[in-house]
Amino acid sequence: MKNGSWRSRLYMALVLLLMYLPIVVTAVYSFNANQSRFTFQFTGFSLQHYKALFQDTSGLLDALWQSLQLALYSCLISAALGTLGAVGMARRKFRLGGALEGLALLPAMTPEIIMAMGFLAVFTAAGLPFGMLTLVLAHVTFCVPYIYIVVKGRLAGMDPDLPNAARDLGASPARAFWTVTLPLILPGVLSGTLLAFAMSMDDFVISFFVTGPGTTTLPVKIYSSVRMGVSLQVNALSTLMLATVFLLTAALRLLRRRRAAQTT
Amino acid sequence: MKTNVRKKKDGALLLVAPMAIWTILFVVVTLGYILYLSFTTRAENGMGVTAQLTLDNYLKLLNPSYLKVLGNSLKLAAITTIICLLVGYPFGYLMAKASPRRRAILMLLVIVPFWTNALVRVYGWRILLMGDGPINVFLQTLGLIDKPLKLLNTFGAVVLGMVYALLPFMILPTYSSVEKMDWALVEASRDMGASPLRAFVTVTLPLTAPGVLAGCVLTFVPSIGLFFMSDLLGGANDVFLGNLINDQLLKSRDWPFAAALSVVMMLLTSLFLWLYRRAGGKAEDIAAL
Amino acid sequence: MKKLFALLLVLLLAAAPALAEGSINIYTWDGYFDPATIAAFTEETGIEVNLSPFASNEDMLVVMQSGAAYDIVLASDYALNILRKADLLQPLDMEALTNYENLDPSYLNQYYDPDGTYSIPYAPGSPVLVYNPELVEGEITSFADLFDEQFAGSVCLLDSARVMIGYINIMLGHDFNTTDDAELAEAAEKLKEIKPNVLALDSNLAYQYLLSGEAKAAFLFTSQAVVCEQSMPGAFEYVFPSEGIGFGIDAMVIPASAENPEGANAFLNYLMRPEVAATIQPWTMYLNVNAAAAELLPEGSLDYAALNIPEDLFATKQFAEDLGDYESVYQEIWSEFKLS
Repeated sequence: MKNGSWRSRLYMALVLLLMYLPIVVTAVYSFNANQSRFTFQFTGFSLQHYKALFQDTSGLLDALWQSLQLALYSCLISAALGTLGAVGMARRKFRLGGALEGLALLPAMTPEIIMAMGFLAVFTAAGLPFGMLTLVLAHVTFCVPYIYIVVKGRLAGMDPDLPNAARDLGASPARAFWTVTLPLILPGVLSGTLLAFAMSMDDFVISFFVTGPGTTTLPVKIYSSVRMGVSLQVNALSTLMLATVFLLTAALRLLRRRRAAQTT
Repeated sequence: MKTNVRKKKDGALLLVAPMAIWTILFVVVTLGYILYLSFTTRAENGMGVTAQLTLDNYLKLLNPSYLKVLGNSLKLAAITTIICLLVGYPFGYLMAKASPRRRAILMLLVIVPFWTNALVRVYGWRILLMGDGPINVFLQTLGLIDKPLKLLNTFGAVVLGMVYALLPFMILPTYSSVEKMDWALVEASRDMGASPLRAFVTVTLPLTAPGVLAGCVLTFVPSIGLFFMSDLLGGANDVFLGNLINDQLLKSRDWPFAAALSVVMMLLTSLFLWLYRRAGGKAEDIAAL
Repeated sequence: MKKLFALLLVLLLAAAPALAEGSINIYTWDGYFDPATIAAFTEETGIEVNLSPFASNEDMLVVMQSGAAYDIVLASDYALNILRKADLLQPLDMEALTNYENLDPSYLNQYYDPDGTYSIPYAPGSPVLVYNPELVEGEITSFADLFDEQFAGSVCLLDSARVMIGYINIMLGHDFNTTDDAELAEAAEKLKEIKPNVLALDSNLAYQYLLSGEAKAAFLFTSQAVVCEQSMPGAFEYVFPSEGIGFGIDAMVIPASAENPEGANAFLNYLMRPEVAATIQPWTMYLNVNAAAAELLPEGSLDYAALNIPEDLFATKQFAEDLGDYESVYQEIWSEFKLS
């Protein structure tokens, strides 16, 4: 593998470069001095959009906060539902298992606008108050498939006797799940949840139709500003979010390294 | 059979129950409504529907231009999936082979771009692909082209946008199935004299097939429905099923026809899922060997 | 696990915003109001204003039809007409609207509100044909000029079936909103002739192609054309097609489902005050609807080609009226046009 390693690194670097190209453009434009709505003409360097963002007259920070809450609730609930479901389905062949799986995956396979119309009609008929509650219900529904399918991929081919062995040794089903199954599938749960988080943070169509006055998520806010021109404050916000994630990760790594150095 | 003895108390039913209940409450009811909608007639005043049941909405689909849109969509989805697979599989594979610490970082690097709003990212691509954008300027400075290439408003730009939006949905499932693979099997086959390529094709690929299939499902299916990519990056000719459903529903306000289009799309994707289950079942059998 | 769910449920319910007494919910596109205008209103009256944005008239219609309760909806004429016909609006409180007389009568009592009982105009305008004189030979004055060979692959049209086919209709001497099958068949044929010239169908970002030089001509909405003229004065020519013009008014209405109509009326009345109205036009960059505010507008606010429609053309203005069932015929022609 040694001789291929620089090549594989180059490959990964290239793919990542592609993934970050538009992000870099986004970040660069967040420093654009252009005041007009023709935001893509780069006229010079300025921090004005960051300043405006923090004065928060545009309500972007509030929208971000709504989106983060929504994504957090939806991810927690859908991770629980999807993971348990995938583990349960792998343990035994249910008579209607195939049908249930198909149905559970359908929300990810249906055009968003149609899901949205369906949710709108069903929630209205049920008399639910439109707002965070309806948003979470809808988001969990379309997040479950992502977690389910990734966890299932992880479970496939895993030795089903491992949890059974734990059971034979006297562990309760719950204990067998927590101590044996979950650690084994954790990478799958994690990747599924990350995908679900990204989906939830980014969803506009469904959110738009199931939200109510007072709960405007970030994507709803951004898509609605297309007619008047998307403000570069959005770029500033995205850049700050990315910077935060990277700084936090770097800090965590540093901390872990220092701790590792202390213990040895 | 051990499993039969354990059947009653393995708790599987309990594990599946929450998802099953949620699915029935929210998926079955919601999609049931859509199915019903697809057989209704649009209301006289153009808003909403009346409960006059009909099959007309499905017959309307046979219009050649709609069939053309359907064909376009399947073509786009297939191309997107293949490119995602070719780019994403090696990435997921290499990611799984990296050291655990680097793995965590790579996973983060892959997913973090997706926390930037999709519209903003597509705006980024638009700037990159413009006639006087960085890519054209770069190619011109290198002297590779004399006048700007038309990059934006092309089918290629739509494919690029799609691949870009869906790549992590290929990378992450592939990664998670390569990561759990038993490398001893690959070594064994190498020890028995298989070339690296042969070992890859006969051992690694079948072992990771479930992840690959999951990735293909997660890229193929959404790429049929994504619509704003073609609005922002595509040319006038790039109309896909997602756009058509959107326009029928919102602009023509023909809810029943939009519902019928969606039902057809769901049937198509269900067919794909069914194939996935069959293939997935086989892959599991192979993996269990 | 049950505890976790219970906890989440409590959190969710707690997260639902407690809407204060004396607040109004406005439903419109993001960015349609200057935050300063709204802040001043709240300071003066104590009424909180919540803005909920939508992305398109069509999205709004679906939500309003399902019975959503907003106190004010600000949307385009045809969409408001649909709401009116569906009995989803309530009449304005004319007694409370003491500033109504300040409005410019040329924007009142239009087809979507013939008796002037439901709506207050906010942002009117007509799409402008903008072209780059350096890339175009000769002068462009009409929609028909865009069919010329010199425009091969370099024209941006709006991605709007109704407006673009409407322009073709008036070019052919028919009604902008014709529902005559034969006339529309003719329009569909004519439309195909312009296809080789089309670079993109884009309602929001067409100006990018003009500025990058990829497009020789493009239709821009009023406010975009104003920004274009501000950013690059003298670089482009601005024309209203001589065949006749399409027109639109974004206006405000109070839905029947409004929970605080008094607050809504108070807000509308506030916006019609001359000194407040004089801050609206520079913000929206559409035409000014408030005659009493005209003198108070900042110097030069109206000195843009897009805001000065020649009177003879203004008289010909046509709205893309809602056609109910027939709407899908236009959409189908548009789809065919895209696919051809």
